[in-house]
Amino acid sequence: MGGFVFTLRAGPAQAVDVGALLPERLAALALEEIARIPLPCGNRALPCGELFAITGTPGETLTLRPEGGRLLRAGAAMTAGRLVVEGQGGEELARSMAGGEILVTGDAGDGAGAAMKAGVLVIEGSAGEAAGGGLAGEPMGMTGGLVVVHGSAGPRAGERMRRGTVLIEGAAGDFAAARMFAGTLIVLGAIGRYPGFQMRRGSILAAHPPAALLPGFADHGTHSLGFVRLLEAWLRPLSPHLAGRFAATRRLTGDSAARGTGELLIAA
Amino acid sequence: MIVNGVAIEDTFAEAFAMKATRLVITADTRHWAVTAATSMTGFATSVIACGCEAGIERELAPAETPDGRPGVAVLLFAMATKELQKQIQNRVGQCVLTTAGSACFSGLEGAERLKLGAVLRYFGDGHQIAKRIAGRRYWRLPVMDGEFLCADDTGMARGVGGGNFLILAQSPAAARAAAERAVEAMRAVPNVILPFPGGVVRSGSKVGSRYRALIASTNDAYCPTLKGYATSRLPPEVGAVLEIVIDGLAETDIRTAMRTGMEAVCGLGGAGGVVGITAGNYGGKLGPFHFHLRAILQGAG
Repeated sequence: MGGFVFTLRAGPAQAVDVGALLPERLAALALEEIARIPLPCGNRALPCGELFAITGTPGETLTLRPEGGRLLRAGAAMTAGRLVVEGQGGEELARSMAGGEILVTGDAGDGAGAAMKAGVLVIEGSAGEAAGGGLAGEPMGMTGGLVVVHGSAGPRAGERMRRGTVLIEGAAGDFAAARMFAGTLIVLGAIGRYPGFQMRRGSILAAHPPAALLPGFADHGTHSLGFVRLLEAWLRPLSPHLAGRFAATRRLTGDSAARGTGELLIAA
Repeated sequence: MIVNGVAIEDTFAEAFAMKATRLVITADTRHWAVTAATSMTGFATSVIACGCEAGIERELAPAETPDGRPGVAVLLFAMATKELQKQIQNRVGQCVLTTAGSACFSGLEGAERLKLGAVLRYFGDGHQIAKRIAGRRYWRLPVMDGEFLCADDTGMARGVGGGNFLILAQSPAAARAAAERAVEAMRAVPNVILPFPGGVVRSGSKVGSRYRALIASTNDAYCPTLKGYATSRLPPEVGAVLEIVIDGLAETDIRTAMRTGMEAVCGLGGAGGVVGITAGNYGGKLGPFHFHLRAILQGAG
């Protein structure tokens, strides 16, 4: 194991863009080289060693300790290895992530896991807006991987999702899985208004009835679906609370305002 | 070599390279899982006329299956990838998809893949849903009792088909008893199937025929009603012969199964009416795999 630990020194009022600090990139660098990596912070870039106290030894895991400060783009475009953020994950966490594993012990800001392609992102706290969503201006959001939020998520979780799985153990805000193309969004807590707004395909599994439903959903009654057992078996190690919650579900399909073959499965 | 009164002929079984796959079929109850598996492995005794050789490998407890329901592992063998592909899509489509409450999963890893749900999905007529779970793709097809869940594809292995041995006994009853005993023991061996009815074939065949239309015909040298001819291979005391054919995922699996079966037969011994054990081959020129009976029984080979 082992690995470098980056502890943010007190100082910068602006968020520090730590997108350059990736386990797979740092594995090949000496400590002095790492200390020289320029990190954008506000309207300037500062050497990594000036912003962070770097300790530890080279290894698989990279640990970021933001202390009281703010991070930006932690684990962005990461492809391999393990990144741990001990504290608040900041905005655009794991944006365009393509592999490896990220664990955040605190909360994540908006856009966590946006346009993610592969890998696993676990947020022990809550996530901001559009967790597992997309990048501004891009037609499609997440295209693969797994996002687990142990706390709650803001509005538009899984927005424009194309593939992959997002599991929110707490509550999710309004417009969950809005404009979803495909993929799976699971919400174990309360779910806000209008989930699946203009969804084309894909699945939303909601443990509780949504605060409000769109009219473009057709109700097909209560069913026990086999694929849920596979989903549970897969996610059980990450979320024991999932077990048995969707053994029987009320199946609605929509949004008929879009293609209409998406599904909203509400635990019965 | 004589074991417990059973003469082991110094010969070998000749086997062929085949393409193989394993499927795991589950259902709400054991009864329906077995029903689906029995149906889909029906009429699959020999590639000569069935297209493939298939059988139930073993039943699976709920804890062993992907969806936690009772299941059955089946193995299918064919001479070519294209034929195996055709056979699994037809058999799963007609026999598993149609069985109440069933689901069908891949039972083999490997880079070489055969399409399963990838072709069956069109039955969903636009209502089919693909789901990627734990890195694997599945298809959900709406059917009249809910949804048919099916793996997108399954792995293909380079298997071995045609491992065999012949039980020479004093009477049909003695041959049957010995064969049943062997089959029971061999069914516990993993990675193999015994494709013939009850694991046993009574109409062993030789290559060729005096009739041009036939590529195989009765193995007259081992027919007890013809034992008076000079071409017969049967000693006078033999009244019946039964053959056990084995298909396996690897050469070692066939060897293990053959040893298990032959030991069971020898256990019955001469006192049980067993006269000898021999094997079918084509002079060693056709099949690349040779299983020497004596070497296998001695733990070598």
